[in-house]
Order: sequence, then C-alpha cells, then structure tokens
Amino acid sequence: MAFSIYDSCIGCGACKKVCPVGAITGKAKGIHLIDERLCIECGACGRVCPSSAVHDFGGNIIKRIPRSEWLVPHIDISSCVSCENCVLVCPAKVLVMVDDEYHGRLIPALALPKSCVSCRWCVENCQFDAITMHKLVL
Amino acid sequence: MIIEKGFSNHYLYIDLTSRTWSVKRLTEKELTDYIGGKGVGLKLFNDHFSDLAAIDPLGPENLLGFIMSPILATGAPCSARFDGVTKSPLTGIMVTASCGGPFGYACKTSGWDGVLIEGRSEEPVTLSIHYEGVDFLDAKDLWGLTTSKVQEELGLGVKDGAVVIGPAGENLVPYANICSGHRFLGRGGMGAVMGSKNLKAVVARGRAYRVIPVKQRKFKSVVRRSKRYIERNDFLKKYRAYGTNANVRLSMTEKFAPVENFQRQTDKQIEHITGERHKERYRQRFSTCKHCSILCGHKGYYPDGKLRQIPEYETTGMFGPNIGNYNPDIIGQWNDQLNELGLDTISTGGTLAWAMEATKEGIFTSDLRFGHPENITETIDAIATRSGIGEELSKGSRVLSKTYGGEEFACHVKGLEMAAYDPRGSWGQGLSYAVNNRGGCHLGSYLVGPEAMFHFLKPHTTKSKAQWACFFENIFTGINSLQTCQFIAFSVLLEPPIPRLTPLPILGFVMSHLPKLAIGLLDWSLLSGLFEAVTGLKMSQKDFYVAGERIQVLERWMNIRMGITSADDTLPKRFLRDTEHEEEKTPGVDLQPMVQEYYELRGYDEEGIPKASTLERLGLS
Repeated sequence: MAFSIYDSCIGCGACKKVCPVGAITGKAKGIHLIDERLCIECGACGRVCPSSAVHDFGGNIIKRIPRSEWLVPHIDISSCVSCENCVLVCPAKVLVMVDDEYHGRLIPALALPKSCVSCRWCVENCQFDAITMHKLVL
Repeated sequence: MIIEKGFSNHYLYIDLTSRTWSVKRLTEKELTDYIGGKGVGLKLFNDHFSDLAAIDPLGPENLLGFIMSPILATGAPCSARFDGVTKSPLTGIMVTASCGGPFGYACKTSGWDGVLIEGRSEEPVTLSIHYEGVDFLDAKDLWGLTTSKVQEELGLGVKDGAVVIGPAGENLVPYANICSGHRFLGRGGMGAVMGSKNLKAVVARGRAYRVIPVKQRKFKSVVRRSKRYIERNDFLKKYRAYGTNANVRLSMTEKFAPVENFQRQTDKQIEHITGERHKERYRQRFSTCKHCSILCGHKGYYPDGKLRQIPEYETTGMFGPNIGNYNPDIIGQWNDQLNELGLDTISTGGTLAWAMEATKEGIFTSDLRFGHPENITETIDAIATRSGIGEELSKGSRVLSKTYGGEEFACHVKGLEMAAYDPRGSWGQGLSYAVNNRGGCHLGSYLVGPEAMFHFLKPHTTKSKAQWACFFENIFTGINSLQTCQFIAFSVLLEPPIPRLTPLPILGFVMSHLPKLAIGLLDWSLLSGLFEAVTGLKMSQKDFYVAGERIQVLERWMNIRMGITSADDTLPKRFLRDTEHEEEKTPGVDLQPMVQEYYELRGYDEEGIPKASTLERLGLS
C-alpha cells in the first residue's frame, strides 16, 4: 500500500523532485498527492519533507533525514555472481553493469549514488546475499 | 498490508462475455491438499465443470487459469513462478505449465492467488488487475503486435507484470504460447485459448500486499539450506555456466539427440551447437527468472550485434539436429522470432521435422528439407499467420499425420510433440513421455536425468523404472504446485548427506535393485518445510509426496473423462521395440511392461483408469 501526504504539506515540491517513479503531483504551495498505483514505498519523499507531512500506510510519519545519512547499497563482489537482477529491478535506475577487468566479468555498480533512494529493492531481490545497505562514503 | 499464511485465498473469476467478476475461496484443508499452483488450478478447473468432455478448448466455456503459489513473493529461491491451467486445443486434454515471468509476483502482491478467465469478449480486450478488482480495457491498438512490442506498449511500471500473446495466439495456432517478460507458458497452446477469448493481455498491478512467512526462523533456515544445496550441486553449476544447453554435449555422447526427426540418435556435428560453444561465441550474460538462484537463463551478443536470449536445450535440439541444422546463429534468430510471434518452439520444431520427413517420403508436399534451413524463417511466419503452407503446419503433427499418413514417425504423445530427448537413449524417459498427463513433455518424470546424465540407473532396462517414474512425477508435481523451479529437485534430492556421501556404484545399485529402500532414504523435507514455514500449516515430507500423488491422479482422472485411454499411453512406432527386426536397428523401448507396472503402482486398473479405491484413498471420489 502506498504512502500518503497529510494536510501539513507546504507545497515546497522537494518530494516531487526526489520521487524516482514520478508518483507525486502537485502545484507549488499546494498540497501534493501520491499516486498509489505508482508509489514504491521507498520513503524518499518523507525523508526530504521539511514539514513531516508524509506517512506510511500504518499512519507513521516518515522522519526527515539529511541526504548524507541515507543508506545506499554496497555490493560484495566476492558473493556476487553477476546475475543482473539488482540492476533490472532498481526503480531509480542507479545501478548499472560495468565491465570489470580485475574480476574479468561484468559486475553491478552504483553509478549514481546521490540518486539512490534507499528503497532496498536490490537487497530484497539479491538471492546471493551480496548487497548490504551502508552510508555513502565518498 | 500483509498476505497471511502465504495464501490471500482470493481466486478471481472473470467472465469476459458479461464483463463481470467474482471471488471464490477455498478451505484450509483444500489448500493443504493441493498446495497451490498446478494443484489448486486443476482442483478449481475440475470443480468448475460437470462435463469435462463437452468443453471446446477454443470455445467461450473453456477456463484459462493463472494460479499463484503460497511461497511466491517471499523471496525463497526460484520462487517467483506461477502456473497456467486450461484444456489444451492441441491435445484436447488438460494442460498445465509453469512460468517465471514478472506476472506471478505482481499478481500475488495485488492480492489475488489466482485469476480464472472464461467467456469471450466481442472486441479485443486487456484486463488490468489491481487489489480492488478488474478493469476491462480496449486492446484494438495492441492486436497484431508481437510479444515484446505489446509489453512495451502496455507501459508497465516497476510494480507491474503482464501475460500477453503474440500473433500466433491471435490466429489460434493450437501450439501458441503465452509470454511474461521473456519467459513463457510454453506448451499445449494456452496462447490460442487466450486468443480465442479475444484477450490480448492481462496486466497485474502489484505490490499492494506483502507476503511474510509465518515461521520466520524456520523459513530462514530452510532458505539457507536450499541455497547451500543449489550452490554445491555439480549439475546446477553446469546449468549456471552453460544454461540448459549443457545437455547438448550429453545428448551427443549419451545418444539421446533427436537427429533428423529422431531418425538417428547422435551426430558429430552437434559439437557446433553445444553449451560450451554458445558460451564462448556469444559472450553470455545471465538473463533469469525473478528470485532465481540457479541462473540457467542467459542472453548473449549475436554476430549481427543484437543481444538475444540464448535458446534452451529443447529449442537448440528441435531447431538443430532435429531439422538437420548445426548453425547456432540461426537457431538464436529463430528462437527470437518464435518468442516474438508467441509460438512453442518444441511443437513448431517437431511439426517442421515431421513435414521434412513426410516430404522426403513423398506423402506431403512442401519445400522443407533436412539440412536446408533457408526457408525456415518464412515458414515460421506462415505458421503464425496461418497462411500458405502455414495453414497446414499450424495443425500440429498429430492432425497432419492422421490426414497425410506417416503416423509412425509423427513424434508426439497424446498430440503434444516430444521434446529433444530420444527415448531410445533412456528407456525411463520413454515411460515418462508415454504416461505423462500432458503428453509428450519431457518434464513428467525426467528420467533421462538419473539415467543418461547422472548414471544412477541403466538406460536400457525396464527394471525399477516405473517406481522412479511415479516418485519423480509426484515430487515434480509437488514442486510445480509449491511452486518453485523443477531444477531445484536435483539439489534437494542429491545434496543431503546420504546420497551425497554414498559412492556412485552403491547408489546406482540401491536405486536399480531396491528402489523402495532408496526412496525411503531420500530427503525432500526442504520442500515441505518451505510450505510449512510460509503458511504455518503443518506438512510433513510424506504429506507433500501424497499431495503430489493426489494432484497427479486428479489430472489423470480428468483426462480419462476427456477421453484418454490406455491406448494413448504409448510412444510413436519409431521408438518402440520391434521384435521382428531387432537386429536391423537400434533396439526400441520395451514400453508395455513398464506402463503396466506403472498403472499398478499408481493404483490404476489395466485400462489406465484410476480405481475407485485409489480415488477414495486420495480424497478424490
């Protein structure tokens, strides 16, 4: 079930910008809406909301977290078998397969770490327990 | 929202004629007895009709079911599979098929454990299924599109999954298939049933629900164990490296290849199309079902620069040696073409090979010749559009051989073309084909595995084959109902300590001479454990086995009422033992003693009809 936005929305548009699947609509300074058919429940909207207006289907408010604290996938290449399922499933399209000379095969890599929305779909889909979520270290 | 106990227990019945829908539920006992997937599908189909023989497969009355399983969407290994159930237009009996496409996950998480469609729409229609119900959408613009194009045009989101048909299904080719992603409900002509209902696609809008296993700790331990077994199984390692094409070399060395419509059993040129050759030639990458731990699916770059799905062993066999072709590049192109048009590769290959041999024998007129692949591409197009020669070829090899003659080399069982395993290289596989409920499908009990691949059983003897056919049929049926990948059976059965640590000669001896003891020592508690962990309903290893048996006998009982007799449980004459000309050719399969023993073990009478006591024991009467 989808997330939704309370009336306390100030219409800043931050959630709309961060949503990876374009599920949020709304005009500036107006209350925004989440399309439940598109929402993937990643919670990114809530984590950027300055007025704590986003809640999950259980009614829990999603807390605001600075972007630097967001968790991103870390792929353990020794466990990874390059099945590509994490790349295919990533709704934000931030994972890609890259040719890695050191390992002599294609391996998945986080190409756009700042666009990752910490949805954990890659973790849930990995059958080889090769992905864990960590804070982004640059 | 959470789906409790693995089942949402909501089965959606859609009537396309009146554009209405309703919901049915099953009792907890029924769910445990039939597990899910194939079992529940057959049960619902059986309960829906009073007279199974009267159903016209392409009529509005036929029911087309897509059934989800209890473990779907839990993340268990190879679990994102769903089952299709209907009455086949090719065989006229029940057909079930399993597919690992994205539709299963989406449909399960939209809250529906099954979608059963009847009736016929006046205009082309697409169904959109979501947690609140069904929308009927116009599909005039989608009619005529190929399988990948139509999935593009549907505008599927990240949470959605669809089943679609290609032009072959629309044109009611009796061996058209249904596509989901790049995976298929391949056999028995389900695509034609969908086409007959004017139904182009069914889209499920998923992720409204989640499936959380009831016994979390048990679930984790079972998943960990099954992953460990998959990782260390040598056979599955080969599948991961080369796909099912790992079987190609074996088919050559163990002599079960279908050379020129099964006239011969091996050919040196098969070397050009082995799995190893595919791997080095096409820079293979994985392209698998969702939640797959085995990774047998591959894609690769072909010389024309296109990234294509690498064909499976059956396709390589049927469009390789079976029609006298040893060029892997064009097999890949045909595979792509067949997938786009929505045609079953095994039945198409089998029918083409029959036509080639019939042309050679002078009983059928066509330009098709063994070893001449030039006109295959246009012939495949003609079959899908049912134009020219395609009109005749689209009928399948059973109808063609009845019309033109040549029944002795029409390689089908019960109307379904045989896959690329020659039963003379593995007699158990011959029994598997002959008694399999859906016809000439290789997956019934797949005894070619224990015989020609693992060398547990001797291939050219009838000893113990019936016991093993029953055993593997029950286990595979259970797996197809649970529902996970059939390949997982190799690791589940062979990796526990007893079979793993027993030396091969001793294992072979016990399996051949003391099958009951061998079965008693095997362990498949992983499968029943998976069901129990997800649903919280008690299921022992024995319960799982009996459920498999119940589903198997139910399907047989349904087929009997649709007109199947013991005369249908046979192989084409080409493969049978011919006592008069024994020395002239490769010894054929000594089938009859195995079939009679099989009937006895199954609790059927001599005519192959389940006895009243058997039906009563399994709760089917």
